[in-house]
Amino acid sequence: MLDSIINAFTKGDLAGLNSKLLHSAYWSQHNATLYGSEKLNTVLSHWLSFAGKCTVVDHHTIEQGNHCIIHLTFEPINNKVTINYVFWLETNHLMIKSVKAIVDTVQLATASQHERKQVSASLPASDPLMISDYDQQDHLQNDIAWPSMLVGKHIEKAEILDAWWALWGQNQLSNIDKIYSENAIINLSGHKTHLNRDLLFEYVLSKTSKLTRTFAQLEDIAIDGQHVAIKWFLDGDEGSHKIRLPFISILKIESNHITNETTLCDVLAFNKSFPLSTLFE
Amino acid sequence: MNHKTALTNNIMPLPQSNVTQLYWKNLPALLNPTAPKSQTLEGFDNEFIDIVDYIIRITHRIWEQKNVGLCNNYYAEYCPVHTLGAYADAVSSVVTGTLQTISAFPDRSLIGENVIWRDLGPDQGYYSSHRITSIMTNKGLSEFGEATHKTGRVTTIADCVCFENKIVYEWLVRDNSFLVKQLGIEVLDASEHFAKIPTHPKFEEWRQAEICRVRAQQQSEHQYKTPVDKAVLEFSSKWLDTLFNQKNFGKANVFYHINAKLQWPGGRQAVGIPGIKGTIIQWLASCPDAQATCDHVCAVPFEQETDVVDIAIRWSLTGTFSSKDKKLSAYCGQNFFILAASHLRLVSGKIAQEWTVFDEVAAYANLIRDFNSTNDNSGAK
Repeated sequence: MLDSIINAFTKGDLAGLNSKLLHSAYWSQHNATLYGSEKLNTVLSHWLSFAGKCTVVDHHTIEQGNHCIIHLTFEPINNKVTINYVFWLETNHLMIKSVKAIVDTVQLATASQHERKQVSASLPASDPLMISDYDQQDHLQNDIAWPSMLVGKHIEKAEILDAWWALWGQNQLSNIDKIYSENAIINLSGHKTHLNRDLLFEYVLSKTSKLTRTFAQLEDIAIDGQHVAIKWFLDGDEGSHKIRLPFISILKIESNHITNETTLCDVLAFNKSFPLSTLFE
Repeated sequence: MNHKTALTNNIMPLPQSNVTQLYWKNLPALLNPTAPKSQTLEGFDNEFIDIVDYIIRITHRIWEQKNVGLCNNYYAEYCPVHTLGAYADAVSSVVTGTLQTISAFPDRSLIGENVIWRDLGPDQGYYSSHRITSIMTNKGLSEFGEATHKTGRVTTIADCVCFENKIVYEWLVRDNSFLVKQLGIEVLDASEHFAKIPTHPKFEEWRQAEICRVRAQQQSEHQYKTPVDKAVLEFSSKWLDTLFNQKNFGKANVFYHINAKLQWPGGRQAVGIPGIKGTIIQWLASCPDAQATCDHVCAVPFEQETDVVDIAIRWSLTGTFSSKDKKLSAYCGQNFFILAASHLRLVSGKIAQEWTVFDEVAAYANLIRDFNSTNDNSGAK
């Protein structure tokens, strides 16, 4: 799987990756879900037209059951700026059933030396998502997902994952200093360089302070050794508009502290889907 | 899937069998099955190994290979087909409809997502509930209006009774509101266009009878003798009754996992119980006195996993239309009717994933037809 994805995204080996995708597979990226023979053409031609030929400077794979999460860091051959890309595969280890991918489109624009609006304009039309309004409060019903409820409270990392989730789920910013190691390396979408704990504090605040009735929902978690991948989204009201921002986070946990985190969202696709939003201004 | 809930709702593993499972099978393998026959398939062509194989291969031959004339082979000469917007019962109508759809959407490809089935016994054949994702580009005049030249995808659930190699009865639901939005057409505009298409005389008869039946909470006349797993039947009836009839949304956690995923018509997507409750509440608010009936249930195990079950439910709902949407306000007070199908994937007794399909475009078109008919009869213009 790893080789097929690397070859497709660095050299344009479409056939190699296509042979790993089931006929019924779908590819979900940029807030659009693509099926059929054109899906990979659409994704790859967009990527290659901006990133061009590139190399993989770092990669990591997390596997649990039918989940395989591949984090690749690309570097275009003509520009030494890195681009983070995460592929969350559903696979039986022979074939791929679905791909949920997030690329840092702001890094892509920077690395390809294109205006953000050029990259944005070329993204596929997003699905006509309809977010029905709902009560984001739990009212003591225990209906809201926490990591320990999905992975099991007995799992070693359950406690730290709950503390990490409280950052986004409950705005519990004080947890940052408790759960991140002092020298933690934190990669967040739209930033060219690593951030430290103080800048993470500002990043979380910059999102949650612009929203009311925020609600973070876990979709899936995969744990593989020291690494944890989490698929989730943030909902909230921005004025009278409801927004949804999907994320994939990859954490490295050592000695009960987060030492490395990459949290990706697709900023340009988000801005295209929610043109009135100022979340990333 | 992370679903760490203990076995609940008494859903026990269904009997395993070797009937084809679609999920991890690639198309070439599905079109060239090598496994031995796993069902008797009395009266079916010898080439088919089971009901799933039959459904997948005939669909491929008719739609992808464009052998539209094969409808004459695989549909009975008299085959009632119900959709929320039309009725047909002659195989020639099926041929006409298929041809017109392919003409409007020439590259339409059908991806079989799942076939959930039930053996109805030697006298009645098999019931299949086929969930399909179609991808298609609108290149010609369709029931929604002029060609838009845009590509969209749509989920369809086709519930068919198959007897002796032919489909003899069909209920077909398609998420047309999601499709038209991708084609750049307003849902209500599509409904207005759709409402102008004349319907078969039996359509109104059927719709009015269904509205009366569902309002009276009577069961569908289409009942079959072979048993359905009692726990599956109970879960399905309670799910529909608790949420849609009793409207006790606080009990959603009895039915759904905390990270359950839901796909509903028109692009409604939710993950988790708050979002799922919100989706159903917001939709039911346009028909607050809605009553639903559970019309058919069948279930199969998912792959060979012992605690994963796929359930197909065909259901109907009626009530008084009371939308707060300004564009729809003219139709408030009229009868609202939905023919729906849901596929539920249960893990350890709770829903991990739900796909619910009904045709909002047709539902609104019926409101428009009723409105126009009343106003024509009263002389209003």
